[in-house]
Amino acid sequence: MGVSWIDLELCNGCGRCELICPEDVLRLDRKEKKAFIKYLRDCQSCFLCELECPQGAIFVTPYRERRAVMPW
Amino acid sequence: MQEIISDILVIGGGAAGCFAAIKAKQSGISKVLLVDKGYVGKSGCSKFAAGSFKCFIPGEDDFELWFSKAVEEGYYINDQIWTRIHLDEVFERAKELEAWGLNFLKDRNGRFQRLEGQGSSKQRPIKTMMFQGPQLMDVLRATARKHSVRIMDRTMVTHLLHHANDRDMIAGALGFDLKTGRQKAFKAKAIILSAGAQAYKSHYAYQKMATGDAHVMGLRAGAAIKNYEFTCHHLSCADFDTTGMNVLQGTGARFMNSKGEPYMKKYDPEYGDHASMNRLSAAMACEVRLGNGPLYYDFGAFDAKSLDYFKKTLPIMYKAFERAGYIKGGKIKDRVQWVSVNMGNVGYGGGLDINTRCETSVQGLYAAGDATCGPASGVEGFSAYAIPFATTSGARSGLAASEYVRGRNDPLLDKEEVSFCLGELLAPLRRRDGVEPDYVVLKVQEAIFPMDVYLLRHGKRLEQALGKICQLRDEIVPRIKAYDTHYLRMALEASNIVTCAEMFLRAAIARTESRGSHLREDYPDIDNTKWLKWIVLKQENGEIVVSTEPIPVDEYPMKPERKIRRHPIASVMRWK
Repeated sequence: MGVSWIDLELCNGCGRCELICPEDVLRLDRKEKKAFIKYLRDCQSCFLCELECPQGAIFVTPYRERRAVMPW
Repeated sequence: MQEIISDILVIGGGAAGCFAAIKAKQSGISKVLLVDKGYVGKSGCSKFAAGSFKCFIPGEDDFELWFSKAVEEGYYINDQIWTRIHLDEVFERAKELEAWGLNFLKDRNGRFQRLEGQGSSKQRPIKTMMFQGPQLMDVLRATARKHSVRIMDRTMVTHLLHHANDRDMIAGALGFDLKTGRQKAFKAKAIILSAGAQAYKSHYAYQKMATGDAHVMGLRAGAAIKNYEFTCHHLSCADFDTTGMNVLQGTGARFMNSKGEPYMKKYDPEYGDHASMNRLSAAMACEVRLGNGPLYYDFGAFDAKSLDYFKKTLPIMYKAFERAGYIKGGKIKDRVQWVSVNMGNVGYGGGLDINTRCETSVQGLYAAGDATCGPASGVEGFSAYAIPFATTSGARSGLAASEYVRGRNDPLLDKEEVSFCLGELLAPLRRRDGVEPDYVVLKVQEAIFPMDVYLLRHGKRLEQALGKICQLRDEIVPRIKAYDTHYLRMALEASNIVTCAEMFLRAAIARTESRGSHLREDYPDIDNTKWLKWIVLKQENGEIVVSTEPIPVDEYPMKPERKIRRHPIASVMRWK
């Protein structure tokens, strides 16, 4: 959940997602030139990576990996 | 360790920080450095601002109405001088934003399209301006760069440093690069804290980076914290984190309980579904306690126009709704389960105490935006809406700090303090084993997130929660382990979350009355005979110390009657 997958065929390794992710969830494998999900449980499902990916390679779900404690 | 020298260091690159840095450059200061633990333009709560900009427009709006409502909803906790300044200056800031390229929604005649969202009623309409949410921070980053502000992304500042010859004066800060782990010592003649508030990583959209970093750094450097008992209660979809209440309220969504009854008129006869967040949240808790949960947000009144507004102003949330299947084929689901969320003090609520020049109680240290105690808004008040206040206080802090640094020499750091703070900063990385940051966050949430702790408060339950937090502080925080520099950020955030939870509980225990979002079952009255006071928190010898400061209401334009009255929610619930 959270950021669910990165389509590696579409990813061109531009590093945009690594640059902008507010929670430092995504990183770029510099050898393979592909983005990958490194710290999934910190993903806040904010959709920024999906919206800004020039290749449309990232898919985010609104359901976070870590659910906060609820009031009732 | 890298040493970086600047005239003004701005910590936190949201709307407040960008305004501060831009204004400092416009004042002619040469070295202005803006640092952020994310990427400026894509980080902080401002990035996800829900498109609402509550702006008083001279010539169009009634000043007395706006001012009186701000103070009334602020429950007289406002610094009314600040409230006036904010309303006086906010339209100037909006015009600047527009000139820099932000698109406010306009009608065919070029007039601002305005929506009646939160805190608007037929008798007393308050209209908000609307902008395309995510564009704001892109515009601000571009403008900062145009003004030659030096931007340092992915750098987390963790400690403030004092002048070697004057312990009461700020001289710099310490931090590290989140990717490389490289440590950085910043020397600065003045520092502006604009790194937002504390959201406890709650179930509210996109605020996970708001972990009270500015509050804790300021507290530890000797600055006073105010209004921490007034937490921000917000509302979200129950299934996943959402935002945008102003837009949804403004476009006709209604609250329903599990019996299908609209209940808000009972708790707030004037505003009903347009009520303020603390009233909506308290009403939700009461409905749940009465056995009427779960609660729903009913979109039955939504038409194509409402949906179009939703899409334009909240594109990210709109996408989440589509993905969850709540919006299909241009139609929105009739009702969606909704909950209250403790959002700490994002948007409004406590923070660093500032005067009208944005000076904290430590020389050379300024604060703006959510990092402050929200002096313009008091408990809540529509003027609180974070973005407008971020612009006015951000601009003011930048101008005041510019005046302060002129003619000052480069500061001198205290080597001993630097090495002590560095040791503290790196400690989680050096531990061989220990507790994960996530565990600490969860334990804090378990202590303060139940509705009978943060919404319907009672001295005994607050004390119990404080006991849990103090135990975490003493036994678990010293054992937090970071596997790498990403986890180091999370570890320091978790530690800040514990400190802020302690401040919240200590302030909430001290205020033995009810007022706005601070609703106590054991003290159900708003007591204007004893409690026209601010609660001030300071750190002395490592301990958080609580004191009070009388609010100079007699010097302010609006003076409340000095009497005791029942909190409206307590009246509905007939608490004794």
